[in-house]
Amino acid sequence: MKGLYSSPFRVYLCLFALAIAGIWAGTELPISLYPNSSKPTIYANVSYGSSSSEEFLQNYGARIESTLEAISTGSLEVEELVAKYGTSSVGYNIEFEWGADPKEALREVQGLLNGLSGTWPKEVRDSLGVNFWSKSSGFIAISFFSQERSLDELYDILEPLLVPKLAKVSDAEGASLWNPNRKEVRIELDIEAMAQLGLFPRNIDEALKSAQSSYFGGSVLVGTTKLSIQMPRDLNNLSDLENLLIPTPKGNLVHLSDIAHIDQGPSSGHNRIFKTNGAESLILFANPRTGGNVKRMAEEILQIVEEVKPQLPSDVEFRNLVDPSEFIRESVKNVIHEVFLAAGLAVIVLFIFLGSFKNTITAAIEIPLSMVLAFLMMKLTGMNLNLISLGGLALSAGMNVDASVVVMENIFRHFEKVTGPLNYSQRMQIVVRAVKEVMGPVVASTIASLVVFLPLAFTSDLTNAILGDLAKAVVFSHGFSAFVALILVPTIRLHLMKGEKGVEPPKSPINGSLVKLENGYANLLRKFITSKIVKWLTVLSVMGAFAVLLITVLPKLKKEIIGTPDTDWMILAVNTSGNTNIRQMETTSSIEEARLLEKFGTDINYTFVQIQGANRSTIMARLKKKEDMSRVWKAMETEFQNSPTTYFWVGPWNPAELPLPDPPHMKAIVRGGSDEDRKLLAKGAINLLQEKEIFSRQWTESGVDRVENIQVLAKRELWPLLYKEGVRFSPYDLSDLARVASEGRNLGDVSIDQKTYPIRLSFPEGTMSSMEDLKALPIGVGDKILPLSALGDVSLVQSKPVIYRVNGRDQIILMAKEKKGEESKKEESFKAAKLAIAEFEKNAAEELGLTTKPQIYFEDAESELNGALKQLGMAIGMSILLIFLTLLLQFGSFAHTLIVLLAVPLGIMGVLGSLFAFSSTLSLNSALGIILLNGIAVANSILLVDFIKKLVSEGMVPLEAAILAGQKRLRPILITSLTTILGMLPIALGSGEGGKILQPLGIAVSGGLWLSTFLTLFLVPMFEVLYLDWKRKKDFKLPRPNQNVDETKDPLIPATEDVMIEGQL
Amino acid sequence: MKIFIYLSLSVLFSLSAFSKDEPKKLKSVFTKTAAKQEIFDSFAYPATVEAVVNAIVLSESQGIVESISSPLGYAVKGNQNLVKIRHTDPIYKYKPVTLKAPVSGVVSQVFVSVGSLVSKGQKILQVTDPSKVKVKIEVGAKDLQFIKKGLVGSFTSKANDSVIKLKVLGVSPFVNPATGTASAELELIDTKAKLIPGVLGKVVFKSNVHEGFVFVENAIYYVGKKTYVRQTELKDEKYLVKKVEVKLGQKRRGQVEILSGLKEGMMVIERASGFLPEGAEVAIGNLPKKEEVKEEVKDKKVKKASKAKAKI
Repeated sequence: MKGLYSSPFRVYLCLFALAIAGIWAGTELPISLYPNSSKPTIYANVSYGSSSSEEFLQNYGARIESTLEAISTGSLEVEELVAKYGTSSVGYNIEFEWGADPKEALREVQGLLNGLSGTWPKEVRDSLGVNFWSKSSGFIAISFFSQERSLDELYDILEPLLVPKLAKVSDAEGASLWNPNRKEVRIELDIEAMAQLGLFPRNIDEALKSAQSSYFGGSVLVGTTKLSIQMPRDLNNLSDLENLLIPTPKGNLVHLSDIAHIDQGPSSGHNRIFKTNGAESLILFANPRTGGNVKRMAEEILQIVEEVKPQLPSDVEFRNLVDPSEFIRESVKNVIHEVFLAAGLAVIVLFIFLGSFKNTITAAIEIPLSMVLAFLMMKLTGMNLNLISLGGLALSAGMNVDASVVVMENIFRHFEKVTGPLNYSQRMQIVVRAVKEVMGPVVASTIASLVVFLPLAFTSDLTNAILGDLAKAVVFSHGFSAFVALILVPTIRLHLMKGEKGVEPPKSPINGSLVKLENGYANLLRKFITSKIVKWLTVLSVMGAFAVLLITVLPKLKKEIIGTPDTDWMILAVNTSGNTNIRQMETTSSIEEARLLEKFGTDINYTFVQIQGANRSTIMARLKKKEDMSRVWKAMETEFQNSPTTYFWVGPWNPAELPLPDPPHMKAIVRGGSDEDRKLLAKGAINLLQEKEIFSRQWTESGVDRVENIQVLAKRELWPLLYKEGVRFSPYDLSDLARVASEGRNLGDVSIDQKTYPIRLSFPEGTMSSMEDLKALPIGVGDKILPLSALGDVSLVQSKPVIYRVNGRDQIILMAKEKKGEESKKEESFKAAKLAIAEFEKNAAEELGLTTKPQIYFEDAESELNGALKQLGMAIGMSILLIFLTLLLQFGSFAHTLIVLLAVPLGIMGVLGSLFAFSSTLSLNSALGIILLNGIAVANSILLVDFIKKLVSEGMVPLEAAILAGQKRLRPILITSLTTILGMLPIALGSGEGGKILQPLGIAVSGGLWLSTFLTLFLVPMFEVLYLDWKRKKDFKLPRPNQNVDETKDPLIPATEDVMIEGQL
Repeated sequence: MKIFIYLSLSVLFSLSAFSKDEPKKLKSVFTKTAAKQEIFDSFAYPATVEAVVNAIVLSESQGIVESISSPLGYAVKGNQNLVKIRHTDPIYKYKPVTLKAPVSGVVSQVFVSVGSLVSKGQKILQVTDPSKVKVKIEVGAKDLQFIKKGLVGSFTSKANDSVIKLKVLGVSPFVNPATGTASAELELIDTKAKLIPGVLGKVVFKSNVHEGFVFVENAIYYVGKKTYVRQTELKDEKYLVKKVEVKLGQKRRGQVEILSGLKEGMMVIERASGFLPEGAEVAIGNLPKKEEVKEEVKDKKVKKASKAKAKI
């Protein structure tokens, strides 16, 4: 140790190197908006090709499910597998247990499915898609628009400028500029000509494919040079396409233009429109690759857009719809701001109490240093920089000066005793002695305030996922603060002393007032303890207040998982029924948008509209001020009421919201029985819930509505004779024809004038508007024109319900939820729903005409959340237990321990009171606040009890001992409490981006500590006196004076106070 | 004491304020009055227009085409000279033979050119009478019971703007085993109507024509295997929802026929702004004679929309 302090430059260099490493680690840390707060889920999708959902399930699906469900490697374990077999494809959601590495899970699922796909038909194999998308990683969206240009013009301007650059953004995955209005080459077939020539869409597809390839004809050696023979592709422009030769079954060749109209135009199949301020827009969208840095990605993309901006015509505008880097930048700024504020406030407190500027700075240096060192640990443990972990760093800022103050104080105390000049080695000896003396307590008290986080490590993964980062950040930075205090502070002190002559203990600038305060407090305490009425009245009223808080305030507190930051986006979703064309929706949407602007125009900055289809659109309005959100929300809800043809949904949208599991309030599962009966029972139950209006919203997973499809059954028995007659089409061509006639078909891409366009094959609009039209589709067979119905039976059939399977079992899930803001009704509604459904189930079989017996089982929908909260409660209990055991070790007496623990309920009282007073919420974060508070609050009462005990053991009367102890320990209690309370104040105020998330924590700690400190100062000495008096009477003798006080001292006594009191004695 | 009174008064006041329920906003519905209308099944077939008179002129002997006096599109009368062919066989002394129009009509195809060597029986020309046409369809064996002689259908094609009425002239009693269809011929009811031979169109027949109720599918409400519609009943000047069990018939073009359970004049709910429990009071959004008013409102809204956009 001597060697350490004697070479200050070595210490500085080492710490400097560590700090540099820490800063490097800080810049290298992956940045995301939030820690990963959802279970890693991999999505896989497969099309059936030509088989039906049932066939697919039988032949391949069951095997896929069992293979996926059985995934169980060391770190990967499948928790739930949901399979949804739709009409043409199946989706698998493979949910892994907490903590699984999404990249590894993705690799595993990909590997398994690729292995299985070897036996699948090629068409099915090619359709396999496996991916992972995390909601917590954030994304960027920018809209480009112009009031003067069409989307295609805009795209042609932007595409060459942006797209090549976007490809180079290494953190992004699939950054793209999306033109919803992309042009395509349209081939509109003449249905009569096709029939008369006996052609099918396949013939055109084949001709097109062969015209698009270029052919290689070997090579010739001419002289010494080798020349390859090539036949370039035929298709280079639209007129080439028009002249494309199509062979007919009769042996002729016809030009494509003879049987089709060919042109280039906006995609007819386009089903989306984006509008910014009413102008159709292009969208630039990108999300980060797994483990990518979303902030860097967003910044690079924004920079690209800024670089391109000068080259754009002046009418081209853009809006950053979602910019995650903005949130992160703001919250980093916010955290730094909070850290500075917390440090500043702590420094002011230190200065007021310590009096020396140099010393204050020496103590304060710890704040940035321990934070930078924490980065190093975060890097080593693979953590992310996100809003939560940054919050943890801000939180610990105020707590981090404590250790330095202790060390410094003890050094002063030791120098105080000596007079006269000292040489270097003497000074060194004193410093080493002083540090050694507090080393134990400093380390121990740091451990004590961190040990409360230990139970968190054993909580459920949801709590751990959300709070783990915060707890780890606090543990790392607070842990390092002890390290810095023991190494750097003495070194600086020793270094500074070189220039100082004597060592005058610094005097506080408000020393006079402090002395007055101490005396006043001593007098008040004496009166309080001696007056029986005041004493017991206070105890009773505190107990009463606690009971009132528990009974009335606690249930009233709004509960949430975690605070949500304010947002400036409001959403108005518009749903209609009966539209067939997206342009109809566009009209409806603009009417509603105008209404929105007319009523709320003054609050709205700009609007962004997404028209997702003929019956769906979303109007997003960016408000000018976030504070207006709830007012505008309410007003919009009353303004936009459902009508029989238009349905609205109003709500805020927060791209920066922590994605949390959002379970329904009721979950019931329909199992057993036949597919049809299960569906009927589920439908009946949902109708019942709707009719009784128990919940505000109810739905089923996998639909229960009747679905009808048109079935075409080819008359295969005709084909042998047809073939004899020279017919060369197959039953497959019939469905292909129907598909082209109904919705059209994409034939891949074609390169026209060196640009790539999709080709779409279709019949003129309106060719097929009813089943009769389908039946009458003309097909040329020899000289005859037959209706499609001659070659296949066309009929309307009830289609098979979507097969929904969870972990290999068929089921339908009924779900219901209360409206936002009415969640408190959920338990009552759940009971009512359960009763109603039980009643309904009794007669269901008869009423619904069921032949089998499906049943409804209720499940705890919120089991995960409830489990998390329960475990968090247990973690609080555990942390109190840990403190209790620590204290028991220290005092060896239950009575003293319980008196010290009095600080805990007092703290909780303060928490409840302040959460209620500031209308904050009971959340994971306020629970964490309570845990943190327990560690800090008992320290004050430890100080008092320990000192009283010591004084009494030295022979003092309990009353006098309590008053003296209170008077002498007031100052250290005030220092530590004030630095912590003021350090948390910026968080409690919850200002800035993301500030709302940690606000309950700040309120809990500062409010709780405030009340607990104040009441501890009176109640703890009082109970000590009561107990010691009672004990003295019981023992009929004074406690034996203990000569060896220091030896009984437990290293776990928080050191700050201990040392300071010694100094003042 | 005074404080106590004030307190209790304020508590009472606030309680009364809470207990006063806000008037609940009624759900709005669109109704349609049940009225019987014509319902029918329809059968549609692709149909080819053919000329009744379509004569192909063949060469009577081997020879060389000397001249074509009636080129393509030329209107000819029966027995009019069409083509002169000179014998190449010395037996006939290279005598020219004139081919005459077998019928009146228009030369619709010319298969040879002047100077061509033709053999006996080779197609030379085709004469078609465009004023007399028939329409041919192929009827699937299953539909033969409906498509009978005399059945009236309507013909549409791209070449014709208007719908042309046709009558089945006859149906072949023979079903072609390769196609599973029998041919049927139709004639124009209005002989003045013009159809161009060779055109492909569509004929639609109505069958099973009867009166009945039809409603959009949205109006049907399923409970288990039972089917209901909801109607509104006027009681004390309030429109209340009432469920009526109905039996469904066939679905045609998005509309469902209701076979039984409905009475003429019932106000059936076709669309609603939310789920309607039995007995709930509703507001009817489309009470008769309000259609025009709505249109006006919509117009106004569109105008406002453009104004508001201009503001932004």
